Amino acid sequence: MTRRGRLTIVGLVVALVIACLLAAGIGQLQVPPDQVLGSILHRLGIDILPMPTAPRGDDALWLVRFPRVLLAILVGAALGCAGALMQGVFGNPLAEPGVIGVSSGAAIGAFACIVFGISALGSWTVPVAAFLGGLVATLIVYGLARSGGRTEVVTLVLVGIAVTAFAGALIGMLTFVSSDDALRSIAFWNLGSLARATWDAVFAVTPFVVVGVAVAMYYAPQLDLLALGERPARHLGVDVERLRLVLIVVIALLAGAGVAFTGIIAFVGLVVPHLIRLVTGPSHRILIPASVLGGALVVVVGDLIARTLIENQELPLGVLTALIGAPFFFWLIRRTRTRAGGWA
Amino acid sequence: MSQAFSGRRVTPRVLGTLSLALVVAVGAGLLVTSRLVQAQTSATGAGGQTLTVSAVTDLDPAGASVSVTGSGYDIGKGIYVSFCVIPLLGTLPTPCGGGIDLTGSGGGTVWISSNPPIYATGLTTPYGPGGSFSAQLTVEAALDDTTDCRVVACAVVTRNDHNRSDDRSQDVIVPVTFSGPPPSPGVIASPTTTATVPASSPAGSGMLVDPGADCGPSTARVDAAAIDPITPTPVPVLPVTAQSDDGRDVTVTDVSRILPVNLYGSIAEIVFSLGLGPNVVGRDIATTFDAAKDLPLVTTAGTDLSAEAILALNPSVILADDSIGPPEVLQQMRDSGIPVVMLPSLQTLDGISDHIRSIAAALGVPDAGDQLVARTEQQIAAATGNVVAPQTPLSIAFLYIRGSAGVYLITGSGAGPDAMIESIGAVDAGAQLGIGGFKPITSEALIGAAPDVIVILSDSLKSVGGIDGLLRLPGIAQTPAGEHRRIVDMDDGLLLNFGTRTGAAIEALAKAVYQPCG
Amino acid sequence: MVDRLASRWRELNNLEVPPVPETGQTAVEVRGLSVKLGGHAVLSEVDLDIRHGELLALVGPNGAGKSTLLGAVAGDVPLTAGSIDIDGRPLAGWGTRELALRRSVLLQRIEIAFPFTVADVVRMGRSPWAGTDGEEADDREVAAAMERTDIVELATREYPSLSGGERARAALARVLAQATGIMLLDEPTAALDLHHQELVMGVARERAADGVAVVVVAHDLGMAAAWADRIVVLELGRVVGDGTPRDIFTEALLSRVYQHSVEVLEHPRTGLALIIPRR
Repeated sequence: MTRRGRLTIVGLVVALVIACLLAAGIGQLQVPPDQVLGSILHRLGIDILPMPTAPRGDDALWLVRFPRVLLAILVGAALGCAGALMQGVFGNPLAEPGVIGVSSGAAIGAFACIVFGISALGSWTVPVAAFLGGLVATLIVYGLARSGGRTEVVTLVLVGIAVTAFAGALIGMLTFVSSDDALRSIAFWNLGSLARATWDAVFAVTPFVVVGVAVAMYYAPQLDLLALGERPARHLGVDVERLRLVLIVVIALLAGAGVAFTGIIAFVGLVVPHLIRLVTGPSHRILIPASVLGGALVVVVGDLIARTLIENQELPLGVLTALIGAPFFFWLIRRTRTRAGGWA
Repeated sequence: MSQAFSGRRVTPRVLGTLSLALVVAVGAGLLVTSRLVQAQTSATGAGGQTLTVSAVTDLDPAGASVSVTGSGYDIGKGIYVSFCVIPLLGTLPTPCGGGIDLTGSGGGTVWISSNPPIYATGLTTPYGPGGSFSAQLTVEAALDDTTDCRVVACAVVTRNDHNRSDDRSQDVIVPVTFSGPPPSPGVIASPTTTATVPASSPAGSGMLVDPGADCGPSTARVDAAAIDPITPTPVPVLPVTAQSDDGRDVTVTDVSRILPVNLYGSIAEIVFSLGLGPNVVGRDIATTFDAAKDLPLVTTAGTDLSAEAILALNPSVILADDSIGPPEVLQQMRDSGIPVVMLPSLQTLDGISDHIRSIAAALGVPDAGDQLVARTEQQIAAATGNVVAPQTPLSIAFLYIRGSAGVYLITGSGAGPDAMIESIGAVDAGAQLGIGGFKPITSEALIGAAPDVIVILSDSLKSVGGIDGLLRLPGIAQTPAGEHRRIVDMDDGLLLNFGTRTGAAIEALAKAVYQPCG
Repeated sequence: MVDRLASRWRELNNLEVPPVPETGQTAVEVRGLSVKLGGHAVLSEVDLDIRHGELLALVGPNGAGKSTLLGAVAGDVPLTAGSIDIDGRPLAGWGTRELALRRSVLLQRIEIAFPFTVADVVRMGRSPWAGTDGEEADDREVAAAMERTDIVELATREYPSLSGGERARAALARVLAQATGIMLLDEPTAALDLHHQELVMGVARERAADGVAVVVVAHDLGMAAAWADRIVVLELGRVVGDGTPRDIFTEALLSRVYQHSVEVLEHPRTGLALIIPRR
């Protein structure tokens, strides 16, 4: 790992820790960082820092903020990692679960659970269904958009439009048969928000993210080779078929985790890996861990902004990320087009 | 997608400009002298304005065309030029041929205005120089089914349009007589009887189906400040163990910091009506009556509760029902040790008393609850009892619309509006179609349902750009309601809330539906 | 972290690391090879032995099947009939990584999806050796490959920003760094200027001298005549000539295969064949 890569990772870890302390403290109920730490240490049996002084301050931290910040970390990590993986697998910097409809697929899976009241796997039901929905969508996108080992920008965007439109239609059908409560859930889903973060959600999502990130890290070196194209990667000893299959499952796993309790938070997986590539270069050995950290950082900070930007109102995080991410996407398309010398 | 559904939230009440424009208040007008000049072709009004009619005597009872000219009118105020029964001094001329003509169709009334409301563009003729106008009016002896100008005295009249119906400053009358004998007695009612008919239907239109068919849009309004706490203010007896609607027994020990929330604002309304308003620490977005509107909001993300916002208020008890969520937040509140009492949430008139009793019991003031139930039931009974509905009930559709994307939902049985519509003796068009709850409806189905009146939320009307915007949505203009512009808009907090102001809401809705002309 | 992954890699892959190639041994044995693509016979009954220490040039007109034959040997093209053995074992008998330790392939056009630096790209050639004893030679092999292809000063440049000729050399350096006993090069000199063409063929020659079996698809017959030990001529998917340049490059054969009258002269100083189309 290069020096620059190490510095990036350390910098991201430090920034994430600071962001988490701030995010846990700031809100309608203010808790200064020393009291946030004090509350955590108190639970560990160490009483050296002050406890929250605001009425219900400790409750606010442990019931609302901590699960929310942790879920933000997990979701951000999942989205950042899924984005980096997807770009690697597609050999295209424009691939992102939200952009090409994989998140929509995951949302359908989760939403179907809510509408039909399926809860066979307890609190795991929704993430598992989101994973399956995401997997189907990923396979469709993969099958339709690739040819000759690469994915052309136009094909990818068109397939993304098609998959998203189809997902929209399915969601429309589900809303038709659903109850009022389910309808309210879908509005929430489409906007993307961490407002429903609970400890249950944190526990349900954690294994998905941990397994997904671990597998992604393991395959990182092979993704570098895949950047050369399928045949050269195979000439260098990569079992391309197996790599793709495993990573598609991992992408679906991560997209499912990123969507199951928070709805669609688009563009994080697009913007974060891209910015990190600008700093550390394209090597997936650094890109993947840095995208995991960067995604977590962006979602923690984004959520903090979303719930504090307008007093007494909460912006949906997905709307905020789309507002920032969509112009970035346009810029990226333009730049890709300029570089490739026209549409393929 | 999300637009359609997020729009279902109950949003703050903002009265549209239309609502103001269309409020037609009845009552004593300003006392302005209108000089009567017998057998003269001209008359002069209070402001020096002059009205001239080409022919005023021996007109053909079957219908005569007369030229009407005027000058010196205040061009800032639109007027109707119509043919009416001569009114008492200083009162609104009524009945008139053609009624208040918003459709611009009848020849009995001409609307002169240099600044018409937006929906009336094309229906009005602007003033000429010096506040002048000239119009052709068709006058006939039979003013309507029950009024004949050979029996009662009639006149060509100018008066302020319905934007200023209380303002008598532009009133000028030129009396007109017809040739020939009056028709046989018995057919025509006396002038005093006709004066009590609120508005006329077009002459010779046959059966009176919808008394307001020609009045156009109206608004159902209740004073926002009208929360009337019962007296004396009750003293809570605590602790109480409340039967929460989710099956839990919840012990309430302190009602000094109450947080009453639901989608409709009705829980807060009941708590304030019970006299416990001073103990309320926060509100939902639907709670907007004066006494509560300055309380901090806890629904920071649309209609969803924010756990943070609630904890920041440190409530000692939360009253909610399953119309509000998310459930995760309510669970977090339980986890933090705040008693959360869930209430029944049936959206019907019958459910109101149960709501009040449950809330009063949870807050330790059961006697005040009984008192409030009695008062509310009495008000509702009085309101429904006073409704005078046509013999054939009107079919009324409640449409939920947000934005002009052409997506609208109709409500059916159990949604709330159905109960209100039935309470005024009308038929809910959605329920007739077999629909339950909120459902999207196609334009064809809406045309097929043929509602006589469409009720929508004031905010919805505003979001589509007023009546004209609404009529541009597919299917709406093709219903009887659309054809006659029979659109009644109503504040969401009233139509859907089922609380202590429901009696007043029924009264307001009945008035807006059956007496839209005022 | 990388080390831990590498050791895990080693556990998972009980790799058979190839011995140092011995000149004269058969590296590739093609028997009765037929390939059909889209129902069209691209290769028909090709028999071919490629030996270690030999620089073999595959020539023939457009569409003769040169790149397909190379692809078949590389393991990219499914065989319709016949067999290909690599170091005495059928292609299918080798794992992907084991194959990567035995043969390297340079394709005509290499584009890369992300802006890796030239040094990164060359180092990718070493990836099959990760977790083997050969890993220790990584730095040395990378440095040598870059030096030999004249791209040391491009090391920190991003691959997509390179010119066509620079890319071709960087891609060749990656193949050299892979350090395999068999090298399959598809038109390695196509994008290069005269100096670099000579440089690349010189490298191929050197590798052959070290015992590597080098197969070059060539369009420049003069260059093939100058550098190759052996020429194989393909015409419509069949081998129509196999021998030394002197045996193969006859006016009769070339004129027939290329359907153009060709003049073969002898260079006055070197005695090498000069092939000139009659104009």
